[in-house]
Amino acid sequence: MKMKKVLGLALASVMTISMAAAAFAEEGGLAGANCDPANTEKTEESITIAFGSEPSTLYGPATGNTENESQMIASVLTDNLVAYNAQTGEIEPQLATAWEWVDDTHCRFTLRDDVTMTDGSPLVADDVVYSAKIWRDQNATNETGSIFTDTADAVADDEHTVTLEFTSNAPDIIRMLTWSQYGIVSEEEVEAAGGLEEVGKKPLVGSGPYKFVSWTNGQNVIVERNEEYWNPDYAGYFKQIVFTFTADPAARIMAVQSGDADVAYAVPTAQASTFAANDAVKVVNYTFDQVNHLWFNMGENAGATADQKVREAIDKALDYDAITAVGSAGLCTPALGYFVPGNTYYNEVYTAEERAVDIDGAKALLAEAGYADGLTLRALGLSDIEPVYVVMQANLAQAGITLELDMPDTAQFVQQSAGGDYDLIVVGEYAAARFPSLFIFFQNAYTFCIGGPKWTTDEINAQIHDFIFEEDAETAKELGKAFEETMKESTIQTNLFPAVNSAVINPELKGFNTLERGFMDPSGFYK
Amino acid sequence: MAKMHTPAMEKIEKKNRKRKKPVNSTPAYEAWKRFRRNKTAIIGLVVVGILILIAIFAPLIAPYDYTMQDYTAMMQAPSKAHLFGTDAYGRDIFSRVIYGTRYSLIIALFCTIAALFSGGLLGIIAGYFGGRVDTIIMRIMDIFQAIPMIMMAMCIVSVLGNGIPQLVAAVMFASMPTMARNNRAAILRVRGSDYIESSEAIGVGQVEMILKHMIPNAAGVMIIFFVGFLAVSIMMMSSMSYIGVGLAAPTPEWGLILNDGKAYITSAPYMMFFPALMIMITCFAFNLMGDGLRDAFDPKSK
Amino acid sequence: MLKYIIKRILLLIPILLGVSAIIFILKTVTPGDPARQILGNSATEEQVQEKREELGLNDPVIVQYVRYIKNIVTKGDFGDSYRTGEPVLSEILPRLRTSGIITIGAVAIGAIIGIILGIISALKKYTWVDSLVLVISMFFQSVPEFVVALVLIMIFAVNLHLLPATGITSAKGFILPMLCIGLSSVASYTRITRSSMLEVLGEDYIRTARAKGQTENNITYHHALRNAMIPVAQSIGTSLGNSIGGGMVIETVFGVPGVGKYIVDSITQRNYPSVLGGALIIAIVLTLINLIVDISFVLIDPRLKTTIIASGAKKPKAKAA
Repeated sequence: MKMKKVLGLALASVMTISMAAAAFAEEGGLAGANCDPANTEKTEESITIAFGSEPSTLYGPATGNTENESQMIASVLTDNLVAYNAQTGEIEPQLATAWEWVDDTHCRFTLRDDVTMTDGSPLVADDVVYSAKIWRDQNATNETGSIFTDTADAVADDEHTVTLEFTSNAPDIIRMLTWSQYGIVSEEEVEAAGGLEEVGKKPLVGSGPYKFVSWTNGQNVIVERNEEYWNPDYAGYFKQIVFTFTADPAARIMAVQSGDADVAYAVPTAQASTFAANDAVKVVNYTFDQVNHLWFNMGENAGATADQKVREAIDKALDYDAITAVGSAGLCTPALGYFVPGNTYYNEVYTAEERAVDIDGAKALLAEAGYADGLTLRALGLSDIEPVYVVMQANLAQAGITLELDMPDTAQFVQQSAGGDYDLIVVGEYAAARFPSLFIFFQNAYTFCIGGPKWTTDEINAQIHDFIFEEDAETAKELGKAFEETMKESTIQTNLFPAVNSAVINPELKGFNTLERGFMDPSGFYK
Repeated sequence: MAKMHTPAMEKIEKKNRKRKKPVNSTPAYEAWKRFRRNKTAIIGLVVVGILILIAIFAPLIAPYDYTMQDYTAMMQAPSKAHLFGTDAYGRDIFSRVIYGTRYSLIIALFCTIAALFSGGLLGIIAGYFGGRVDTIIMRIMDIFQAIPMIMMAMCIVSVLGNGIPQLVAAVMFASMPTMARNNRAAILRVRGSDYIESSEAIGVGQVEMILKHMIPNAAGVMIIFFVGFLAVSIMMMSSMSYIGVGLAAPTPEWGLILNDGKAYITSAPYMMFFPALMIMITCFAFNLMGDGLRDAFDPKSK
Repeated sequence: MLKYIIKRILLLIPILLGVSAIIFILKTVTPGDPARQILGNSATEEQVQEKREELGLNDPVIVQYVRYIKNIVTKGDFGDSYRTGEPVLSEILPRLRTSGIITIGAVAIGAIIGIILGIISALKKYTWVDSLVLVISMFFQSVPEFVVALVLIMIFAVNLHLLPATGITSAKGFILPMLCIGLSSVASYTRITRSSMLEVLGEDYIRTARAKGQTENNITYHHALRNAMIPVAQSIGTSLGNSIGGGMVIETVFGVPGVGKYIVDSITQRNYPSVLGGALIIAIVLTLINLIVDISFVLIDPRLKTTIIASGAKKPKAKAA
């Protein structure tokens, strides 16, 4: 009897909570991520998470891939040295219990001694050394490797102490180590999986809360709770997580509505918002430290966008209010700076007037640049912000620019973005802190993103460097503003709106937590 | 036997009297008479006529510019201002669907003509010359036939890229074997008839023979395939748009409008309903017409 | 008979060579450098050149084609997927089974409904029932399959929670995809059944049966139907092969891991070896299935030999989608 009562009470409270959540969502607010207390229960249940595209690898660092889906799945398989607490904004111990800077470029980490890897062997300093070498050697042209020099050392001081050499002791360099591509794996595991090439397909590695079970191409990836997980504070509610891949967001949402899936991830915000009043599902919208920027190809392969007049014309022709209204479903206002309002380094470098549409001005500039008869440009994009491209396409058409769109899956997007075959691309940069890889689109050594990376000047490099490495945050903010003014003057990029991530989930589900870049944390869900 | 005077008999007599008048009794006229009797086919014809009018007068019918986005009026349900509602960009769906008639019909027509000129022509040549020419052409068609039509079309578009010419080319290649087969069969049937043999005997040139005698006489059957294929190509386009190959936004082709609306199928079903309805009505009309034509031109084959 | 079968098998060779030639041509006009696709954008120009040499991309086209055929014949090598690095053949074989099951189910559904409707409309020819049947069967031919699919998902998955919306983790997952593909083929079976029934009903032996005083039911079901089913059965046989690759859209809507979805996924991933290799494998399988169907018909009824050999035209029109 008593049991029943308790159960009834629990059910009632669950219902109130979910109704409250639904009510919040109904107001169309930005809500839902990182606001639930942690789960404390283990069950035999299984959760299905529907992604939009299938990753090309489940262990990105081996091949230098940083696809979103790959990182999210990898985040439950491996642990990092340190973790980021989204509630407090603090860096917390994970595999490392303590860390200290030995000098300007070396940091020493003390490891836990109670961690076991998937193969049952204990975590030792050599594993960190091995992982660091992968970050350095396999990722020389991307952000993962950006915090190490080519010759950066990783030395095991003893079984549980390791010293890593970084490019610098920039203020937020340690925070980068909380990102999911910096998971710790051991050499034995990687060899057992068949070497670095194979480990992406069969990532039975790491010491994370879940273990890899299977990957059926074109269907799903299945992971299972790690019953020997070292962290007693974490209880995985779901015994099994099934990741499925469905390109069509409408089909993903229907899968949640029908109960086939629990989470439809990366749904266009405008699409998700139409479910706000639907009790059968819960909508989660959240911003994170990222503004969506439009980048112009100014590199070696650049076409018309190499001409500043064309870039300015595009800037004038775009209707930022419309782009924002469609892109964020009216949840945000157009971005007036590179950073998100509320960020420590936020500066307003544009005024609302400067963002007004000026078709005549755009046409005049295009005529000056020699494109009076029109111009065709190609844009590369990700399908979850496709609506933004469609608005831009209509805006630019008014000024006589034909915009061709190409929306491949995530893996192909990442590949193509480095190729320079496109004129325009919308990419946000995760700018929560002054990471050493910040403004990576300007840094020549890294291939990602057309536009910025292949075009930079010594002056710009100096400005970026000063901003990132300034110790005082106030001064850094001023330096940041100066750099933003430079970008604005030369129209190197244009700011669109704060990125919003949206998901449609089972209303009973709680614990929607985020990782870096607004990635969803698949391990935090519970009911 | 005494003459009966029932209303039915009178009707028959009237008809007989009419028949006695010297009428232009060409095969086409006979076919038209048969077609006219087929009510469902006439409905199809009328609907197709209306669609063609809509396509021609689209600018007069459509109240808005089909590309105009209005972010102050996004996702509005059907109303007086927006008969079919607005889409996720505030575009008037009614205007898009009306212009879509123009695009969809024209592209379908291009595809069909291209198919007829490639596969159809090959079929006619094969059927007329027979023998080795026939064998070679039809064996080549066997090869094309081995790959399912839609898969062939998608492979071609995925390699050539999106766009109307690429789409037309893809549909053309994909439909070539079917078109060749059907037209060959039509020609073969005519070839056997007496008047062709006698024309041959009096030495009519081959090109003249094909153009002046065979094609007009096989035309009936060819028209059936032509109309039927219009429906097939509209369906094929919409399927390809669903997959995301073929045409690119913002072309207001029905399949693409449908594809835009698909995202809102549970929350705003009207976005998908109207373009789907148009596709359905059009294909239905073409199919009904095709069925009527089959009865009319080729009463035995039905 | 044996001669006929051998002849049919020999005829396969030029067809398969031709199909592989088409695929090979598409392969050569494919945009992008395969070597760079494999190595990724971070590879240097020298590495790409090395890979090109290794792949034999610098050889004359004809040499490449011969090697392509040789690899297929001797090693079953249809190319490797860019995405996974696995051979296309081994990726597609397990999917053929899934697609095969769906095809069989779909053809069964389409044929059963089509035959019933066809018989009804033949028996009630030129009445309103006949017209109604025509309209119903044509309805499913005129609505894009994926619209039917989405509507069925809305009804059976989202609202009633009876069947899954996507995936085939259980047998229930097969129902909706089969139904969607099946419904769209109803019209053609209806038409064939109707015309063949009408033809048979006009034949002499039916008249004889009637004259002998047999009941209408007996005539319809014993004499007419059995003979009228021959062309229907033939068309079922040929569509078994043709539908396997035709389910691309439906497999995509329902997330069915079949060959059609494999091709579609590969298209969106710009994974050209998988697209073209997959299409070639499917074409080969289709050709083989059609051959088996034809031969088995001839074995059952040797009279059919002439019709089948003389007219590939007996094959029903390939369906869109």
